[in-house]
Amino acid sequence: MKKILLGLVLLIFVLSACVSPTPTEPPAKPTKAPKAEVVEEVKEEGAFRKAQNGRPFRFAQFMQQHPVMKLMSEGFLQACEDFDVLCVIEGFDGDDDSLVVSSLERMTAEDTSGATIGLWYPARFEAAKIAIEQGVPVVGVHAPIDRENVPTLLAWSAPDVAGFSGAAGKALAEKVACQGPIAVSQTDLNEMQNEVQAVFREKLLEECPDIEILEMAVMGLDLPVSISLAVGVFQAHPDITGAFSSDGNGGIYWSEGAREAGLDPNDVAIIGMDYTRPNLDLVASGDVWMLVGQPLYEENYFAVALLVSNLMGLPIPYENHMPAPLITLENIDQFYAINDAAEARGE
Amino acid sequence: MSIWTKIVQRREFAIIAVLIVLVTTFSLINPAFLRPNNIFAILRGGAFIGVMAVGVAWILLSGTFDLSTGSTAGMAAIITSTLIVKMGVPIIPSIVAGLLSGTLVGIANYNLVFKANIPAFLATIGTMFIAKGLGLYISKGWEVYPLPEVVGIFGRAQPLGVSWHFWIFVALIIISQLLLSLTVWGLEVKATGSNREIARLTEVNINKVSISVYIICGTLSALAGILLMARLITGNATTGTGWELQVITAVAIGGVSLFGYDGSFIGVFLGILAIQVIQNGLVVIGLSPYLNTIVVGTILLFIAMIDWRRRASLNFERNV
Repeated sequence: MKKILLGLVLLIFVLSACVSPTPTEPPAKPTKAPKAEVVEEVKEEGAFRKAQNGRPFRFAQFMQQHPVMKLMSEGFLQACEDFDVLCVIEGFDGDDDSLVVSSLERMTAEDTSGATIGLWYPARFEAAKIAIEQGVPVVGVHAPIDRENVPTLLAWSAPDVAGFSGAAGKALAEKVACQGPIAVSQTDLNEMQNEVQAVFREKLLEECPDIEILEMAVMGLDLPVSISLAVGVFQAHPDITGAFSSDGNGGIYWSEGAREAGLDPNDVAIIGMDYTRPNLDLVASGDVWMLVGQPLYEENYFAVALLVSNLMGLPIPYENHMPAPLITLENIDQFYAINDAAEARGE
Repeated sequence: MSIWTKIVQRREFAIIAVLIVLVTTFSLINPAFLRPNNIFAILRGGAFIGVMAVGVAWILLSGTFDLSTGSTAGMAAIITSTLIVKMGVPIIPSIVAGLLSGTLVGIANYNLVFKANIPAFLATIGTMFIAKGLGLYISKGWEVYPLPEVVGIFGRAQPLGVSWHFWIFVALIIISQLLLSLTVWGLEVKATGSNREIARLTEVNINKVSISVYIICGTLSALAGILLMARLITGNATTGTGWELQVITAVAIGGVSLFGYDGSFIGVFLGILAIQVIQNGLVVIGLSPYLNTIVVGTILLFIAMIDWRRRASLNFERNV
């Protein structure tokens, strides 16, 4: 029995060591790293690291295996490299509020000179307060946060949700020339995606008052099921002209769903979300018309810049909107570069 | 006993009755539900968890439990895709390695449950975390992408309108049903699930039965992950996340007892089909997403209640 167990453990470790990929090329610099003018006035080499006094910045990275979170990590790590500061990623699996709370409690128990965390659920506000009360400066990323919700929050850096949702609505209105119906979908009914969809719908109806927008389809995270549901939507409405999803899998399930329903994905104007490599490839192949490029990399890069500024006693703005460009074939290359860099780092 | 009573007492009665009602209702509300492409999509969508469900059904019939299936699927997908994409290993050996990783998880589970005497629930939660962790460690959280085009050709193929995954699922259902109904080993699995001690006293090799069902379950879980990898042309450590409960739900509403012995693989097929029909149908008829999950839960409870009444009436007749 012991031999069998020992053999199993050894085999599993040998197997994992064998297949663990080792990056061989240095990371390529993203072409569009945001400027951090707020810290440029400090020229002394090593000044930021010295000010940290051995206390790193930390990124509370829930859902650590999620491709979107990996791009956020890359922004954090690249900024740490560029500003020459100590940084640690506090990664954990899952998206549970209790895990976020314990992660922030762990941060406060250790030496920390600043933290960044995605605060797109109101339940996370209380978690952030735990760290702040213990003297850890926290920058929220990915969602704007009203001052009154977390009064002691240092700052936030996030996309202009209303801006990109409205821009997507306007772009789709032009693309389909106000001819519907339009399918809409989200992963689940969370606050941020609800807002994205509400603004998108409002803008689309403003541009095209008579256009038919279908009932929201909640697709979940299981892709085979999402694709099957997309096929169902296309079967029920074979004349769909466009589809908009506020989640990162939308490009995949709408294009695959169209294909499986016997349609050509190129005939449907599909707008997906997030510049992960599989999504970019769908744009490159023409299966997806457009992606909303949420600033996954940029917002965390800028959050580190804000923490550095704070560390040096410089004033920092509370609200920091990052641009969320609409990605088509014309501007796709720079987003591939971000993926290249993140994959090369292999973190 | 009347014919009606015989029909009602069939273990698949509840699920078939509810399926008929659901299909009729959905197609009346929106005839598009019955369009061939939609039916094929329903069948394709359930094939992945279906393959896993076959393994889980064997485990449940033998009176034990496995919660590591979803993570095993993810780990196998990552191992296979990493070998192909990052290490240049040919496709077939990579798939064999992926399947073997699932077999190893099955053997580990057996040893933990029946040799180290850790309750199956706890032991397989442990291996669930280890398998998931290995997938993450190997992939560093990144999707392994893109796989060679030939993998995509297999994954996207639609033989007879459905997919290879579906036909593999159907083949597994038929083979398993035959094994359960016609072989001594099938009887031994049920006997072990009914009462391990009595099975041992009647000279059933309960250890052999238990290790074989764990190996089947681990390997089929890995196969499910590899099939999804082929479909999406991507290896992803998140593959299989949450499948454990979906699979157990489908198997249970298909009439397989969570306490061993009772069940059929035809029921497993119907259970998977029911889950897919409910999910797809509610979207096709355009039900508000705010009501969707309430309706899903209510239908599942309804199926469980009918089945529970069937079992109760059978026990009553046996006792009389």
